[in-house]
Amino acid sequence: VTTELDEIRAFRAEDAHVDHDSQAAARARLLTAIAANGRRSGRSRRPSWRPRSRTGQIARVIGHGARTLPIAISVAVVAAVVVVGFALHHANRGSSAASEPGSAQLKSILGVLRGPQTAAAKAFHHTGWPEVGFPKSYRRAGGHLRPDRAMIRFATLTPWGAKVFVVPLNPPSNRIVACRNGVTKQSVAVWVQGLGWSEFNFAANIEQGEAGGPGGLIPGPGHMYGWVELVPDGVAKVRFLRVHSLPRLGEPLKVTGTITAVVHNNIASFRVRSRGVRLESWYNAQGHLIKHVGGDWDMYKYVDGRYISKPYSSPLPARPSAQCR
Amino acid sequence: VSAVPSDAELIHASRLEPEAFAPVFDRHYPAIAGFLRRRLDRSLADELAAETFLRAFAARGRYDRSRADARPWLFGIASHLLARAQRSEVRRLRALARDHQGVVNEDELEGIDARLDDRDVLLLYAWAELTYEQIADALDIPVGTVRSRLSRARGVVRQQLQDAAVSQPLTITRREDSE
Repeated sequence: VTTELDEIRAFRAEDAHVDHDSQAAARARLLTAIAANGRRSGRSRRPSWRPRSRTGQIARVIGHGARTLPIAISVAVVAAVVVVGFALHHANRGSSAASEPGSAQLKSILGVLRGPQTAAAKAFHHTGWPEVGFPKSYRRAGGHLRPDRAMIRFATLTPWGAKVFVVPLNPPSNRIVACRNGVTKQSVAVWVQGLGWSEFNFAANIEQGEAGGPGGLIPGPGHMYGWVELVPDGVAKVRFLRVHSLPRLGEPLKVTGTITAVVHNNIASFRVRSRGVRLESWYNAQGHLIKHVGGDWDMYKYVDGRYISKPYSSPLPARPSAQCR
Repeated sequence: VSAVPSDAELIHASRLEPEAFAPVFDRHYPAIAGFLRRRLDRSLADELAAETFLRAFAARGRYDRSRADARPWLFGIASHLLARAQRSEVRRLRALARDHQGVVNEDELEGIDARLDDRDVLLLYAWAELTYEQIADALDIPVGTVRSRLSRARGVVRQQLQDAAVSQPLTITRREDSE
């Protein structure tokens, strides 16, 4: 009995015969591929005096064979990228970010931030933090203000020999927290050896003369009060007027003393024997008045030759803008 | 323990010693080439047979060592290459049908794609003498699908034989014959 399968099996059966020449040709193609594969994998039947490469050893340990070599290299490259990325990530945590909002604005008005970072500034986070810690206001402002380490600069020495550092502070990385506390831009603070931290200020605060401090009793003998102020570029001298009390509106100002501080790296500093109300004026390098600004304990505005009181302008950030909502 | 290494052992050994793949070629080339020659013209069949082993050699690292017999794997590669060649042939015929109305009847081409799958199963069973499981392995389809396709293909052949219409059973013809 012949089935359909028998018919199929018999169909063109003679064509299934394979001649020697075609098989030899196909074999030659395969052997060529085999030889090429052997060359690619670096195999050599000759013993070599050269020590086996570390990469080859790794490849053999991982999985033997030529195919594992590229895999081993890929794994090594990926691992290296991960390690480097991890290290960079941690190195940059809370540190410089060129795109940090407000950073460019601060740099544009503070020449000290445009200068190189000294070794002392690089090591500042190891020395400044443990000594005094962060002010409470930094924690209030979202609790996440962190120094931009790459932007910390050593500014100057005060007349009493204390080191002054200018420390930009990054806003909280959490956008919601930053918006809720109105700290969406980079700010800057001043740290003075022995006196601690100033408040943090934005560029606008600095330009308005509100970036005073820190101030206080200078450690050591003499019982003197020190004062440090951060001023924008262009201010070469700051003239501090010391008054016992501020006049009523319309009455002349009774100045009891004058102190002029030379600005170095955006820092003006002086010391006095007693505390009191201070008013100040900014002058450029040619000695021309730039403007009158307020003092540290109270703020007064100099208008038409008179000082008038104005609402205290807190260095703390303004309310969240509509952009944050 | 057999003194003759299995296909799986040779293929595994060829990962370190590529020359070990050569015996696999010697064992199975006649079957693969013969199968293809019965389905295609000689030159194209030889080309695809050589290509089958080149692809197998390139993919030897992925071979399942639990499969001692490499025939299903090799026939699977050959069937894939064959199907690709046939699809391009069908496309060529369709283009010919569009450009030269009447030379090739496009209606006759409609059922080719569907019949190709059934025919692969039938010929792997009848010519390559693979089992259902090996066909399923070669074509990467379930065994139940193999059974159904084989049954359908055998039914078609049986019907055509009964009708004595053996001139075009499942279009098992030479390529030059179909032009």
